Amino acid sequence: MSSATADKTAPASHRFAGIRNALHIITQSYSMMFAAALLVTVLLLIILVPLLPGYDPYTQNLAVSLAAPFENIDGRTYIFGTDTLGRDLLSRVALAGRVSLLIGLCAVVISLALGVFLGLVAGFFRGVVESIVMGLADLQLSIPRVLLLIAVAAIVGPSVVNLTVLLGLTSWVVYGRVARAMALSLREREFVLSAVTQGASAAWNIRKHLLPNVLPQMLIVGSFELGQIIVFEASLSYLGLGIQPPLPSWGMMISEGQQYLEIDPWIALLPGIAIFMLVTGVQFLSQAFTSEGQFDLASPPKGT
Amino acid sequence: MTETAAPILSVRNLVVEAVGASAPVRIVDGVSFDVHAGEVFGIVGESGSGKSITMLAVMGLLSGRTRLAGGEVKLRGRSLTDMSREELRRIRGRHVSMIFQDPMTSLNPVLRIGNQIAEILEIHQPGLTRAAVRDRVIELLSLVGVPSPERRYRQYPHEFSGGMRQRAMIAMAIANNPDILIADEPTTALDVTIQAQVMELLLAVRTRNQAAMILITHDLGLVAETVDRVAVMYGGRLMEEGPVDEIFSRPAHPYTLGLMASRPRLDAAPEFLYSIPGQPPSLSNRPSGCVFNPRCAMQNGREICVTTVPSLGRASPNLQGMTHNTACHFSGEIEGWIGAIAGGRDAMRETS
Repeated sequence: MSSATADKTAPASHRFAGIRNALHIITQSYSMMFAAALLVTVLLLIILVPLLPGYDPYTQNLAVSLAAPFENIDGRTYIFGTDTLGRDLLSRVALAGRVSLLIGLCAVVISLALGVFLGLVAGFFRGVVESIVMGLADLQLSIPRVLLLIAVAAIVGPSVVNLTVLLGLTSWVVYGRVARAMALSLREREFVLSAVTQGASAAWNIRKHLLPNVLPQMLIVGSFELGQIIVFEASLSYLGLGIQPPLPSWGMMISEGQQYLEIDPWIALLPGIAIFMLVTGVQFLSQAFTSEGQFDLASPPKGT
Repeated sequence: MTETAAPILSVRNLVVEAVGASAPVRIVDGVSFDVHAGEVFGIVGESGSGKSITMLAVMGLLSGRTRLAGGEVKLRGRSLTDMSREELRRIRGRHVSMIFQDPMTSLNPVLRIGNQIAEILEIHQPGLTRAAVRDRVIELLSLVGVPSPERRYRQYPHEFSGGMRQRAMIAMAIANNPDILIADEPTTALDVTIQAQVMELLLAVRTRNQAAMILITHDLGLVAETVDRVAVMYGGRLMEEGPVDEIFSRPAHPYTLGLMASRPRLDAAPEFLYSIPGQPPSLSNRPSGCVFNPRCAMQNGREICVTTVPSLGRASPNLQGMTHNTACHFSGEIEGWIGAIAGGRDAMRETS
């Protein structure tokens, strides 16, 4: 039972409970802090660089092509150097990061929504619906994801929207399976039966009772998936099936840079390092929250 | 409680079957009873006697391996058994609502209490504004005795004690002023001091809303205190049904008699507590004839108990002044068996 004194302070502290929880988990170990540092660095790069005065990802200047990092040409320092067409790599890495992250987040949202919907419906209704949904999931799992992405991307043609939707539609299985498994146990819980006796329809129960219970876990799965999706996007762009020039993407930059690996390895290395930092940071953190298991955005900390 | 008034809820020959690998098993077999306006109707019986399943069948909530195999349920003259799922859904929570045994698991842990109570209003009265719903929920919370309802409205179930949670469940159950409240062992999961408070509250809100109530329990003391009429269930059938005072003081069925005799008493210190010999029947292998016959002293080798199912009807005319119904071929002989069944305990009528 909660005491009256504890309750008075409760509403204000609840609001930031999720953030405080997260900070607490991160500061538990050095590896987590390192991962968080990687992530923050990349995010700062992506967010801040386009605000700097020298930001220009598109202008080509062959006179300064293949500049090394920190090379000063004509009174301008290229911190990351330039690519073959003399474009500023710092600007391009930052813009590519924005593109990659945006595509990744949108794809995660699409796949999360689709997967959670299908999984909850399958787990709640069972029977034929469940067989169909899980059959679809198995079917999709039986085809290697990269192969599927390449095939479909080649058919629908490359564009940012196509790529995002495609990545989203092919990533629902994880969410679907986890959501279904959780729905199977949630549907037997008494609060669901209780809602049914109060006249709640199936749709109502799924939306009001199952969804809030699975959402925190789904967000963790989502953060895990974000890293993977960014790598997939880079792979597709590397193959020329993703982002199209002149818009930069990390994968495409690596693909462009590989021809010059011996002359100027930085063209390929810098976006590669950026991918590594972002994905490692996201994955490590999501793993921390998964193993901690207590990170719960939807409800306040326990122990009142 | 007049017998002539049309009952609010009328159940006739309800049969529920469990469908398994082998032949279907009857878990509720020919149960009939009426619940009248403003009355508290008790259903008592041991675990597995079919009390809760009967209520789920009444609400049209049988699912999975159980199904309604016969009988009719009427609410204010409308047949619930003929209704579509959607019509039934509208009835539930609006005209009939249910309170469950365990308030610890009946609330969704990730939703605020206020929002959970608001839900039942939103389901059945979609026209209400947010502010109206909120006001009503706070009114309900204060009605069920939750202190400082505005603050409690925003709290989560884990911030509520067991008793407070059950109060919140009661608030949900009465939110739409239902005609009938079904309380399925509402106090079993609570500790004894809270039990009395919750029961008192339940009866108070029931009286205030003029709702009828069905109380499912195996607590005979609770039944004696709170119920107007009672039905005794055993092995999926009704053994006896009638006014609680009469059934408790003058049971006409040997099972009820045994049940009464097995209660501990304050005014006597028996050497041992009486128990009905034998085990409750396995429903898949139910005794033929009267379900109680293998454990019944009165059967005494008589054929009819094994061959014919006794129907629920007026107790034998031999028993003067009895008005309740019983399902025993030899209810007229009951008074001669009191000594034998109650293990030497004399004069059952003095026990209550």
